[in-house]
Amino acid sequence: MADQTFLIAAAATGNDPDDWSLVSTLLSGVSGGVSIRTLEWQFEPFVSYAKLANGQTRGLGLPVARWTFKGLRPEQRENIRDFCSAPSASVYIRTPTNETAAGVRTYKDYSAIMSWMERSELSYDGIEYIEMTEIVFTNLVEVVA
Amino acid sequence: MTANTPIRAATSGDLVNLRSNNQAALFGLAINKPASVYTARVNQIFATSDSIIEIEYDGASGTLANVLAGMTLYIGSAAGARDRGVVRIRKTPTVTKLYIGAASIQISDNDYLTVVNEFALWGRDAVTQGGIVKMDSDILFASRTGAAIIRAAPMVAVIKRVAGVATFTPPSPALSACYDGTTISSWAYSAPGAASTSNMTSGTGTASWTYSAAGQYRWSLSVTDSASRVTTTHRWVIVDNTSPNFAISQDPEGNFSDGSWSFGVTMYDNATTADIVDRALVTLYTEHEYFAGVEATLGKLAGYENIVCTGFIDGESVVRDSQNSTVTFTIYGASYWLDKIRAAAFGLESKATTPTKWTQIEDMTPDKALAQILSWASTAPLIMDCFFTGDTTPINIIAQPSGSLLSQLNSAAGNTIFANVVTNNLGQMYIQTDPQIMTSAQRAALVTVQTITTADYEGQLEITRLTSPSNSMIELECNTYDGNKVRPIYSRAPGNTGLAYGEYDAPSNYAAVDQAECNRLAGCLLAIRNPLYDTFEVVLSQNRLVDIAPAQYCEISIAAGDTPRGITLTNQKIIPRSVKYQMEGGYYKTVVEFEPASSPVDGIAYFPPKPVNTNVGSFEIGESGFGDFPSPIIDFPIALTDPVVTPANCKTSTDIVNAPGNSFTLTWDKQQLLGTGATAADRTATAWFPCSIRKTGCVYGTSVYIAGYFQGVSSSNIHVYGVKDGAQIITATCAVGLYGISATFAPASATVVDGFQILLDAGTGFAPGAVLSSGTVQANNASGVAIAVTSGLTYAIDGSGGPWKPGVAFTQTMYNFSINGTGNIGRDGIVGVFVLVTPNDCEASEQITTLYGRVYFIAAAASVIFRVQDSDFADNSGSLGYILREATGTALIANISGSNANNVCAA
Repeated sequence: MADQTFLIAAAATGNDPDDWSLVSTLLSGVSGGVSIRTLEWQFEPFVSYAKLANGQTRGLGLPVARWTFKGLRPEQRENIRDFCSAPSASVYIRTPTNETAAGVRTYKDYSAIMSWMERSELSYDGIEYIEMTEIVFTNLVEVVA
Repeated sequence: MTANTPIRAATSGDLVNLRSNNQAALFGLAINKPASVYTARVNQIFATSDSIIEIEYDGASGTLANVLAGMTLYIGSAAGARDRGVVRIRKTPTVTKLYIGAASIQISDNDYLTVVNEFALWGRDAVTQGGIVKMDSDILFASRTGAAIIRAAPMVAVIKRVAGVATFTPPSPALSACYDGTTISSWAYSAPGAASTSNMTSGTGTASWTYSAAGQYRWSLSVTDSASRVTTTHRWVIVDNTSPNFAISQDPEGNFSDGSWSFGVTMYDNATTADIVDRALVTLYTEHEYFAGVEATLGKLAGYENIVCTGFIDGESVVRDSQNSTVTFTIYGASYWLDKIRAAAFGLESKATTPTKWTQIEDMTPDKALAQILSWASTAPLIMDCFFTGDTTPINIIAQPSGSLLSQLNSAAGNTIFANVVTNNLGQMYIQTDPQIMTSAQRAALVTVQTITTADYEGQLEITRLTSPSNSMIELECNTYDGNKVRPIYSRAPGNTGLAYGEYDAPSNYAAVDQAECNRLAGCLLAIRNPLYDTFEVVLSQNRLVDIAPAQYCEISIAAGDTPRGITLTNQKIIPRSVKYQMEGGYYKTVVEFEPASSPVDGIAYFPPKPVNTNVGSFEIGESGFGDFPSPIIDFPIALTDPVVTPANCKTSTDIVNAPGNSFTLTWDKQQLLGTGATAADRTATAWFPCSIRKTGCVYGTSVYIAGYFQGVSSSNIHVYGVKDGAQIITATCAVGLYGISATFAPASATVVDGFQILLDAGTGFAPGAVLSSGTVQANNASGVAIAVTSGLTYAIDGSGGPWKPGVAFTQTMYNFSINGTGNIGRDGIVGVFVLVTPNDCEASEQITTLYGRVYFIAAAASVIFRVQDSDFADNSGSLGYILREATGTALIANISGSNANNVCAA
């Protein structure tokens, strides 16, 4: 089972999680920075659902993960932005899923397409942080070591 | 090698994938960007811009050998430009001259010529000069180049390198074929740009080659036929394609009625006219596809599993926006483009011997005609797979007015054998007989791609039940052609009494090998017009196994308890009529419109009525009964009163001898007799017609003429009698002619009968087959020519050519011949009649034209002698030809379409 840590890496880094970056590290070392605890996540196992003729449901599309940083200092934003300088980029991530095992949250490693927010970013004069930065990871394909 | 058959049944593993969660797909777009292979400047001042077919050039750069027939030539006012025009290289150039498909364009001296590595779908024009027809501007019939139909592979493969190497293995070309009597001898691949190759020629194993660099690569397959002609076709492999940014603006969809696939894409950049040329070949493919969240492929042809749709761009919508300009292209498959290719009127006729001009095909069948049309009127076989019907129905004539090539193909195939042009999503063309028209054996051979269960489709299944027929009756007219004679045959479905509701319909001029086939087709047409259920839509998951071509089935079942109406469909075969890949966010659904397969019941033989002709000397067949429809089925009551026969008073011997001629219509109680009938009664037809048969010596002798279609029937196996009180009291002498049987009575005295009977012998007769050889014998050759045959096999010999003259004193021309010294077959010019004296060694004989006859025989030795029929050969002049054919035993069939009793007196 993958460690319960958020990881991220550019696609060029390769699919070995040992080479990926700890998100907590990307957010550390910043004076007055927000901590990892302010990172909220969502995991959607499917893009949508189809009701089949036999009454069962088929989940359509690949999983989607969302990371929402409630507040990022500019340096922290820069560290995250490094993985997605364009509107989207191919990355690897480790993210929690909805599943637990013996009460313990299950994290999984995926290749994904990372999409930066399409909406405008919220920031405030005099207070150098960006509010509610939402990163969407689509097309999650599990990376099996 | 993998067979080039893009169809297979879903495996259990496929079904697991198709029913899995987390299905997804990411798409790529491969746009062929033709590279320059040769450049030059025009070195010619053109006096006219009309119909230019060659261009003199100089200042060339590149390798001339790289310029191939079918490539595209840009003609422009600047280097690489195409503002003057875009034309086709039509044959191998010389060091000073490029040969192009005829074009009326303005070309100036020193214009720039750029040959690019592109093979488009073009029309090829035929021209007539001095009465001589030339294909593609200058190809004479005698010098025609190869015309094998090569089934090499789909148009485009998109592959990726693994560890720096991409390996491509083409499917087997074994489905390639020739349609002009030749066969394929060998083949050879070429793959310019390949890093390595193996087994590139036939007989050496599975061909394959590798690429070590990304790029767009052409590969070619050259086929050599048994006449040493070489035909080449070209395909593409795109390695590690760099897909542009695009969005799918129109879901890929293939529609049976259009016969083609199409899709649309919107692009935002990298879409200049230099980046994407007009009519560029575009392929939509899956970069990645997932089932159960795991990357996998699920395709119908190895090497092409990832191809979603292939076609050529036509039409573009450019949006100029201050911030976000876009262009939207629509990509269409081959059928769409064939409909844009002009095609001149043409006519093709079947010929029993080797053709001597473009309009002739030896023993023409639908496929031979299609091969001729596609090969010489287009470049389709040069760039794509073209599969044909497999139908071997003999056809006498196919003629089409000018129009588009697609309309001609669909008319030529559709109006004869109910076939049409359909292209699959891989860009392979199928001219195929509709599954609803296929025989039960053909239907049984169709692949059932998937049994669709409730675990496969979304939501509800809406089925419209059709309770009222739209067609009450089909009266189908087909032509049957045995290599010499065309006869109309008719069938009605469901029978002479139509269904309770619906219109009559009378399709005509289709082709059928015999009455049974005509009956079957009529039944199929009625079933098609009156389906029990309308087409219905099924939404499946990511499924590219199902397609509109080649012909295929899926299967579905509905239990009685599933619907309040209690509808039951058990293993119902359903035919995909349209397939759409409905794009969603990150995945797609396959939406298929299915048509339930029908369960046709054969129609019955129908014989168009003839007007009642009195006192006429002859009786012609061939008129359709449509104008009388449906009067023949209400010819009731039949003969409740005695027919009125005139002259009524020829009772004395003198009266009878001098009685005037007359003719009366006979009505038979059966209109079809089959040699397979179990009893004589089954094979006997009776016409009630009380009258007196005139005695021998009358000015007008009594005869019965029976018009119709007779298969395998000769004068020896059909009999006509006069009957009285149920007994056959007088026998006629039968002569089987071109259009019917003439039965002549010659009693010693006038004979009163109640009517007439026709008795067909049990068993089989003969039918001619393919031509084996032909030749000529001089009329003065008493020994004749020996024709090699195989003892024990059945053959037919037709008379042909000629005429000859029997001695200098005779001016009459003769066409008759004998076999092994006996018999007299053909027209005897001296007597002025057609004679059919079956030779001793032969089983049967028949008339095939007004001049020529045919004999059937089972060879008892290694050769037979063919010679003119005469007893004194020395002074003969001229010659007579023969055609040796295969022959087969065939069920005796007598279809009676009309009949007259001629020259009778009142009883």
